[in-house]
Amino acid sequence: MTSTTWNKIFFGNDSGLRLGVSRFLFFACLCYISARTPYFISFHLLPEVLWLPKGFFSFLQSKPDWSYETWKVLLNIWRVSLVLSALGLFSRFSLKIAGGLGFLIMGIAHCYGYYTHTYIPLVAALLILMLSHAGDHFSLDQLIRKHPRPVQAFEYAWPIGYIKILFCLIFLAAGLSKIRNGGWSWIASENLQNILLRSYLYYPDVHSFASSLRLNEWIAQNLLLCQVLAFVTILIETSSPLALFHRRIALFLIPGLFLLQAAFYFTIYVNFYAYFCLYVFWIPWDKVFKYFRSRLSSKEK
Amino acid sequence: MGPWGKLRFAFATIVVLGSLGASVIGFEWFPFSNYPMYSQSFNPSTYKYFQLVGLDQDQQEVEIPIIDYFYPFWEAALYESISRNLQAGKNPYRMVEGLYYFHKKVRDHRKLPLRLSGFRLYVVHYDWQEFKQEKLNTNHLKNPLPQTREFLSDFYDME
Repeated sequence: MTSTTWNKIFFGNDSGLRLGVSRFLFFACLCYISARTPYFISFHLLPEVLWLPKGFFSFLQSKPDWSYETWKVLLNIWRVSLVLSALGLFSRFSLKIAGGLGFLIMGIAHCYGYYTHTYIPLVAALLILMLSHAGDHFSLDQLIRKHPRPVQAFEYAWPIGYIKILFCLIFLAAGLSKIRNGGWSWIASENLQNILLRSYLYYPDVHSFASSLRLNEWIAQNLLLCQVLAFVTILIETSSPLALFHRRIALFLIPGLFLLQAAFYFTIYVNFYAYFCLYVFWIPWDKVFKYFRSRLSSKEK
Repeated sequence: MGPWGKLRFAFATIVVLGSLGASVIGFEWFPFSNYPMYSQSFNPSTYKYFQLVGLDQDQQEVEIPIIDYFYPFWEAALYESISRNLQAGKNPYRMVEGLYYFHKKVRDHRKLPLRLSGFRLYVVHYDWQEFKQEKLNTNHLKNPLPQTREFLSDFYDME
């Protein structure tokens, strides 16, 4: 990474507003995800025999011996901490609770043999945000506090910088995995055509809207199109770190990644909607606010 | 930046470096991942999958929507979990038994239409080329039947 890029990411003159707005949107999305379905709490009901801990949780030989009620209380504390973190109320505590419990709850959901990669980036982002000053601006704490804390601009810049790096690493990793495990045949063979058709077996019971469109079948009819799309997928994924270096490249790459994930949903029925929480960190909210403020004031004149 | 600030920054750096390591070296250790889903080139001659069916009181097989009966798992998630647990040396009978008691625990709360008395697990094999041609040529919405179905285990509650 060039020193200019490094400086821009970590020592940029960030006012804290950008981090504050991103925090609000990130936690608002996460509140929606955690409240929409009983997904995370349902894992506690799964049979012990499927317990297959992973990574940090490998030391747990059996599933935690907590009652369903205890688990429910923990989940509700997490939900409250997500709301408080979104609002920026008692943020020094609420961000830490949201991060710690998020790590535990989403981590346990990865211990039953099925690894839903959808939530892993959110866990990492939560861990970064839990130690940041994200609640200083665009928050209720800011309204309550009479004297703002003296904080260096760097403190507002590094969490955004780190989450952007993390975001790019996810796609880079996915691209490199395809090259490492699939090699040239991931592009040049009938691989993508087969993957598109396998979706009928793989996801017959989820995402009925996407499957009703039968886009996968339409694309699968043309092998060359499948190979071109496979190449484009790897190209976009592996070039994602370039978005960190140049704003103009980011203007193409980040919407490109968004479209790629939307395409995954409509063709192989993999739902990456949780990643929307992370896209908010790419938008310079301070500049957006400044633009609208200047538009408003010019209208008043 | 004070010592506490440095510590916070160091912790966040570990999170990012862990993710970088997972990407470049290619390991998976929660919460770090190399995101390997769909990364294997998929060109099989036969495709192996699972099939879990319910058993009614007369031990007759009943097809069930997995997502309704085994949420938070949907079909692919449950079969991936079964597959990984089998690879880890778990007993398939114990797994089917565990799934039955899960069903017994949640069936009233979820208002499931069937009160099943057991489950049966199969390994199924599809002739991939046949499956593919049928999907590409015939416009059938329903999936073709598997070529072979191999019994793996079952559990039936005598109560």
